[in-house]
Amino acid sequence: MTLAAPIPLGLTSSWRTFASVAPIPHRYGTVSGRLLQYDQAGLRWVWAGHAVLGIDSITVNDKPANEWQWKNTVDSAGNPIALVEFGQPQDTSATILAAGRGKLHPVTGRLLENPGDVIWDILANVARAPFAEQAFAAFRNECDTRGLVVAGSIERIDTTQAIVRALCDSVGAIFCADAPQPCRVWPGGAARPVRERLRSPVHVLKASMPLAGIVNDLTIQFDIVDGNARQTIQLDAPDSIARYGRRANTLQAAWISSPRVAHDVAQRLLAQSARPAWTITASGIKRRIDVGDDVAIDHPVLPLSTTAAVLTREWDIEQALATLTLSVPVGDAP
Amino acid sequence: MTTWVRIAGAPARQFHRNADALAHLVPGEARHALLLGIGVLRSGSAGETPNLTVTLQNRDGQCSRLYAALPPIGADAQIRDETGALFSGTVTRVDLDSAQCAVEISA
Repeated sequence: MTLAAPIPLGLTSSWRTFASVAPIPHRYGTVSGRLLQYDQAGLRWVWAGHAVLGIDSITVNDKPANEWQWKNTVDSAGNPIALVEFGQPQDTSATILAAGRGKLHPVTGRLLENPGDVIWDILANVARAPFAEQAFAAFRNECDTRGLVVAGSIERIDTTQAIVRALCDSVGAIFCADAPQPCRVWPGGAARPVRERLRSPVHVLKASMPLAGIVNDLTIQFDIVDGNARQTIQLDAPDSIARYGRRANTLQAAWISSPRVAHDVAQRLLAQSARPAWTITASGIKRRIDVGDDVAIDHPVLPLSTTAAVLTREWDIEQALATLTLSVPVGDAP
Repeated sequence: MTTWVRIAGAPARQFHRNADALAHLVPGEARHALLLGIGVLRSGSAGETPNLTVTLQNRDGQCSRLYAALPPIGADAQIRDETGALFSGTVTRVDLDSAQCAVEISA
C-alpha cells in the first residue's frame, strides 16, 4: 500500500443491510462523530470500524438520547465495530452524534491519542504501510512532554498522505515518509543533532524572504464535529502587526479538540510566522540528509550562525547530491 | 541622470552605482556603492501591484552582512534621482545569493 493511494477503510456496503454506501470511520482520542445506521429498524448504529474505549454520550438532533448502550463487537462481515443499540427506533433522517473515546493500541490496549501513536496506527495498521512503531518514539515522547494529544476521525476516503499531513498540520508537526524518524514537532520543537554544516565554498546557498510569508494574526478552528468547528482560538502578535500590518490566516485543525493544545500550536506557529523568515535553498551537499534533520548554517550568504530543520530535500540518486530547503526566522519571537 | 535606491531603516541605507551620485545623496545616511541595476516597473490591470526589483552587488557578502539578521522586509523604499522620488513603495521580497541581492519594491 502506498501513501498516495486512498486509505482502505471498510465500507457500509459490506454489511447485510445498509442505508447508503459510506466509509466506516476510524476514531482517535476523545472525539465526537456521526453514527451510521446498521439496521432497517433504526435500533442499531455503528460509531467506528474498530473496538473503542467507550462511548460516553449521544445526541439526536442536539438533544441527549436516552435508552442506549454500546459494545465492541463484529459486524456482519466479521470486522470489529463499536455498536450502539437504542431502546427505541431512531429517526433515520436525524443527526445522531456520539461522543466517546476511540481506538485502542493493538497491544497495550491504551487509548490512541498521542500524535505519534495515531500516525503510526494510521500508517501501519489502517494503510498497512511498512512503518515501525519505534520510528515514532522520539516524536511520541516529545508530544507527551508537550501534552499534545489528538482527537479526530477518518470519515472519508482520502489518501493516507493527505490524512497524516492534515493531522500533522493540526498539531504543528512535519511528516516525511522516507525519513528514519518520519515525524517531528515543528515549528518550535526540540532540536536534533546537527547532521551537516552549510559552509562556503562547499555548499551553495540562496535565501529568499517574501513579505507575504508573514502571519501575525492566527485563528485556529478546532473541535470539528460533523464538519462544523465548535471552538475557535485567535492569537496575534502586536509588535509584528505594528511593523508589518495585520496579516491574518486561519487554520482548520480537524485533529484537535483541546483548547490547551490549540493554544500551544498557535503560539508555536506565531513564533515562526510573525517574524520575517528566510527560506533557504542549500545545494551541493554530498550526503543524504533527511527531512526533519537539523543542519547548521554558517555561510557568507546568510551569516547568522544558527541551526534549522530540513523541510524539504531533493536527493540526486546518481550524483549523490542533496538540495535542502530550510526556514530561518529572524528577530525576536513574539 | 543619476538614480539610486534608498531603503528606510535604522539606519536608512542608500545604494548607488558610482561616485557620480554622491553629491545628491541624503547626507548623514549610510551609503553603499553596490547598486547593479534597477529593473523595469511592472504594472498590470489584473491585480498586480506596481513593482520593480533592484539588484545589488553581493559577491563579497556585503548585502548579506547588512541584511541577514535585520532584513529590510516591509521597509519603505524609493528609487530617486536628482529631481526626487521616481518610485516609492515597500520592500516585499529579498533574495540573496553569492553574487547578488535582489530587492523587490511594491507600490
